[in-house]
Amino acid sequence: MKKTGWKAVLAWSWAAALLLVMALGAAAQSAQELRVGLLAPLTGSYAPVGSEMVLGFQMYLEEVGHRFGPVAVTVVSEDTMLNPGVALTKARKLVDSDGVHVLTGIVSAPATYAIRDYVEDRRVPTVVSVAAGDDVTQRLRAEYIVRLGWGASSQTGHPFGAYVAGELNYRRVVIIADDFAFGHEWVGGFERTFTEAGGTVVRKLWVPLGSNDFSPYLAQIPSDVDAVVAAVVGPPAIRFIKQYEDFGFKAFIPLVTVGHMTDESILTQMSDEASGIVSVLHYSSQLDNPENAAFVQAFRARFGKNPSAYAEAGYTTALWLDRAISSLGRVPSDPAELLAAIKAVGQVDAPRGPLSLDAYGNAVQNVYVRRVERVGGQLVNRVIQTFPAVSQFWTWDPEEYLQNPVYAR
Amino acid sequence: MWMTLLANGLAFGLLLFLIASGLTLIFGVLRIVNLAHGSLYMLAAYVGVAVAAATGSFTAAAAAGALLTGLVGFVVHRFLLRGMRGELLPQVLVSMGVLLIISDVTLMFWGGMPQRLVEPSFLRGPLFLGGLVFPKYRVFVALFSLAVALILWFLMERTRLGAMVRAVVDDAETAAALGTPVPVVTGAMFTVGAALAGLGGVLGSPFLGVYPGIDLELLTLALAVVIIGGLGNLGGTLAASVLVGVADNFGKVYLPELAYITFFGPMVLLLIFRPQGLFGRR
Repeated sequence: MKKTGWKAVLAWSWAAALLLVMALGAAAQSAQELRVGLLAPLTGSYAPVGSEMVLGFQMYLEEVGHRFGPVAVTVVSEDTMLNPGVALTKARKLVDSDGVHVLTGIVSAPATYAIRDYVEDRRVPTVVSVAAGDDVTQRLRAEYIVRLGWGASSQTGHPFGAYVAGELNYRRVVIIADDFAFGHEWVGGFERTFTEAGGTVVRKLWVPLGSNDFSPYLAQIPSDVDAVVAAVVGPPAIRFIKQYEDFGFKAFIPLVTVGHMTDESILTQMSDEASGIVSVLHYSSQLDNPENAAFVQAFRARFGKNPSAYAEAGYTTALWLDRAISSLGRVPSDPAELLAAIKAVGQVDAPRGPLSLDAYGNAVQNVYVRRVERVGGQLVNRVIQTFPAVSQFWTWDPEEYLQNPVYAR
Repeated sequence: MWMTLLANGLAFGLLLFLIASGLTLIFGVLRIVNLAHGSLYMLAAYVGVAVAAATGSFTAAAAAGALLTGLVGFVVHRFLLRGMRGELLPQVLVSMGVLLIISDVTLMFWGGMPQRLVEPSFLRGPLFLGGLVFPKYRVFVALFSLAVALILWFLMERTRLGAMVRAVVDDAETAAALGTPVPVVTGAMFTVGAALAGLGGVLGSPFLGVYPGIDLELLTLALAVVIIGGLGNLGGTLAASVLVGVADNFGKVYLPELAYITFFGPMVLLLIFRPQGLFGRR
């Protein structure tokens, strides 16, 4: 047997000591640093809303000096390209190689469904900021996914159906909506409460996603309806509202819409054709509460425009994580403990108003009916009615509600 | 309702012609593949937005858009595509590169948010014609496109330039031997085609919108129309535009289940049964 020289022994013990120090350092670091993975579409047609969400998140971090209580916060952003497959790849990358403790952001429902099984298996607490697909927190809900932003698609449709039939007293309507899951679910929710309140849906017209020209659909609006209900999201909403005026409907038939269509992110691209539109959403930059006043003022000072619901979603996600981490005072090594803290935050006063989670991990929040008005030369969504603490199940019993299939076309 | 649909179809079809007319010249007549055609449309639309914001004049926006894209077209042809006469794949690759550059440049300057270009105020709002309610601006664009069609037809069929172009396309060597300045003629036509894309970009934006991605959408629409009409046939492109516009409108209403294919479905059928296009020569 070869005799080991004293130099080799020394070298080995140095190496061992070094490894030990590194390991201790890493452990100490993981206890004091929260790593957040932010998944957002930063290229493609949803890039504008994805980047607004990121701006909101970053703005909150800067306000608190990149610390949640004693814990320093590091954010790693990844572009999902609005592609569910890419979202899953990026989620794996964030967890496996960047070692993030929590995943957040996430704008599209397909991306949420794509990462669902992975985050559930790997036990990665995931806080969805925007994605609205009903089943994310209903029939396909997961232990490790909670949704703060937007809520379910039909969550604003339910109160709005009752409001349009009851308060606005529109009895006969035509619905024009995007032919994809969000449109189907929002319209399903609207139609259910609208017809229960005595309204009649004369026709439902489904528009292929991304349409430029709405004239074939506008041509089918009968003259004897009380209102047109629209759910067309993204940039096409700008053209829909413009064409509604161009074809002479604006003067005769009121247009009521899902709130995305007049959200601050695209309202700046509209003019008088949008004024008077009544819409429904869980946020408006015109909300009168101290948290929103401070948020809007800071956002305007930095970016020179009113924040959209997407910017608010990013901001509020960061605020929620701050509450969860600050209550612990550290980053727990057990993901279950982190998840429990996120679920135990209780109620937060966000810019959008009081926000809490239901037993299914979905936001319970106010839903606002807004009307587009011109204030100081600028179009804004003035709040005309508040439905307090609306849950994804509206007034129904959750278990009975979930017996029904998800709303479809 | 069918009256409105017919009017819609005609107006949309004529707008399609305005966008496709430049591509007919470049792809149909000159046989140069320019995948950046939709990008020229988009570039002009963005420049139109900027010029309209600065000057408040829609006419200035349209002129600026057409001039700029004409210039870009000239440069792209002179320094990139001219050296690849008749070489299909290099043309595809190079014009694809131009497409990517333009889309990145517009993204850099204007960002991802959709932009707005508004028609002049006297063309805003609806026109009431008996029982028919129709946007004034669409009527204007339809008439304008018809005028462009007429001018192009005159240019191609009744002028010396048109005759030279046809000669160059049919047989460049013989035309050159007879003293036709081949590079000048093709360069001029390419520039005109690019400027038409720009004009279409500014005029089309009030109803189609200005946003990243419109370049590819418009390229596919224009290509479809040119192919249906038959390569190199101006009248065919006009007929195809109107036909596709009308069929698309009626199809979306009476066959809503087929709404996704009312536009491209007919093209596929046509390519199977009449690959040279409606009015194309074999």
